[in-house]
Amino acid sequence: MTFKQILIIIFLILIVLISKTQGQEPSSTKKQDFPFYLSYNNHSWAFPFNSIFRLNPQYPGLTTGIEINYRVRSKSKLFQTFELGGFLNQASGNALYFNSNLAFRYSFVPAIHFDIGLGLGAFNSYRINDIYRLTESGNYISIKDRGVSALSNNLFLSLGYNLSTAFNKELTLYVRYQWIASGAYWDLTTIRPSGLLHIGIRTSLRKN
Amino acid sequence: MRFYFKAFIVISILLCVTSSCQKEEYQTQLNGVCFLNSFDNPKHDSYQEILDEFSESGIVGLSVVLDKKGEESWFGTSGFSSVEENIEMNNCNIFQTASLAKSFIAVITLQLIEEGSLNITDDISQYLPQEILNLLPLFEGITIKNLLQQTSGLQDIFDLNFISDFMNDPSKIYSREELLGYVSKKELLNAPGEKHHYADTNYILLSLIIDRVEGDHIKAMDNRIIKPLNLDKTFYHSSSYPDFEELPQSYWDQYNSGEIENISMLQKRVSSYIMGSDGIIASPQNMVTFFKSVFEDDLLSDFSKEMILNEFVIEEEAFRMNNSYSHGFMVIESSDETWIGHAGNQLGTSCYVFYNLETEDCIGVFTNIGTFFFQEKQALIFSELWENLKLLIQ
Repeated sequence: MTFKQILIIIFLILIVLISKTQGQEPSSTKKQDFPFYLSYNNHSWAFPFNSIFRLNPQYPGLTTGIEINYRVRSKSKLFQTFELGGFLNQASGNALYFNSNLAFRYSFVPAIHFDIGLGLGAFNSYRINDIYRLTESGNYISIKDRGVSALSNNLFLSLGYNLSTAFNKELTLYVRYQWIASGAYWDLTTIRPSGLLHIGIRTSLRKN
Repeated sequence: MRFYFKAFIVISILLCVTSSCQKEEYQTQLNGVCFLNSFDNPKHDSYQEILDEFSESGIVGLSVVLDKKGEESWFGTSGFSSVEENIEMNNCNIFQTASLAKSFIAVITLQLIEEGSLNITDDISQYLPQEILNLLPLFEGITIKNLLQQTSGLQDIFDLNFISDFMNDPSKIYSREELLGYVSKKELLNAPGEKHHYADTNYILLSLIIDRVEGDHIKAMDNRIIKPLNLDKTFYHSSSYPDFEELPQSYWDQYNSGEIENISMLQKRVSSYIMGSDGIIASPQNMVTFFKSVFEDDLLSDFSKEMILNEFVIEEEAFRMNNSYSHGFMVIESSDETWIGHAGNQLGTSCYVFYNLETEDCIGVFTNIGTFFFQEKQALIFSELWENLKLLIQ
């Protein structure tokens, strides 16, 4: 299955899920509760849905973000994420990224929900070795690595379990597979592919 | 909501802004005197000017041999063998030569055919153990000739699946069997013999066939080519391989940003396990000697040479230097001349040696920068520099 086909399927799923929520009870009128999330992730240089569960070697990273709700219904939610993250990869290079995703959450049963999101962002890659640049005089100079910035596309799929009842606090445990395609890379692949497997928690910034 | 949108835009712009800062500038200094120099050659200055022009265009270091029939060979270098230590490239440097190994393996295979140990039309299943054949999607109908001409239809091992595994764990050392595992589930691109498709898989299989027939293809390389031709600066998985003092540091520009990184360790690791299709470390002079010997000396019988020189298959991939492929040799054919040799391109190295069948001139180019991932950089070495050197040697 090509990446294009995968994207089309994800879009179709998103449309079907959104349309399914049309018959549900009206949007909640409660104020934004600004869900905040933090996850540990393992990075792989991988194409979408390849090596999803690759955990060896470990290339650790952290991602944090907030969610802005656009429409909240009893079983579903349309929201936007704003997230900042990074990973350390001593094989293919480190990176910092900032993404914003339009996402949809659907609860199959009260405690379990599924998220799907698509978005854009900025991806800054850092090398693991010293770098040098050729000068006009024909010599090479050592330069500080400020990273290589590129626009990125990303998608994610999550499965979450709501622990609010057990902890008497808004708290969700989730696993997320995220794939980021950043530009400014090889002609061979045209993108730098990053697969991230997250395990994280989500809570609310607002007090109950 | 507008506030969040504005904040998102501002942070995105901040992240996108990059700049580099100058830390230290090294001064150029000479790295001793090498026993080879061509300062006496009347065309030295014009040759050197071209090399300097290309090293200043971003080829970190390069070493060139221009061997014109009836004249003394010209050896020239430009750029750096180590940008960290500011050491200039010199004529004593030896290089990773990537796919040039295919021509060596082809010569050994053709010698074995001449001796009757192999039959060029035999199926490879006659020479490979079942555990190797099980790794291939199909082996019936694939002959020795198909492997030599790369018309087996087998796909390349070094595809995106391999690159993905390699990028995640570059420390992993692969056996040839593990490498062949990357093609096991890939259908043949065409029926055997139908079409040429460049793939290292063919030459890794040939190295396994030589192992089966001759005992050890590494020893066969030594006994059949390196020793008879006195290639004293050619190494293939022997002695202190791949750690040699004369080996320059190797580099790549991972993001095509004009900023290079040293990837010597990575390259040495890769060349330590790719066999048959890659892995020879040699001096430019030795490589030119080998390619000239194939066509001018008795390394091969006239029958084998005729086969190499006449039985071409079309190379359809436009980004390659050659437009045809023979038995382990790339062929660049134009209306007025035919060059035959091989090119190589791997992490931290880009090189080629071509021999002109009409004039018997030979050109060898060796660099310590890998251009495999970028067409623009490939064009610089494999097209622009090549065209310039062809004009110079005329």
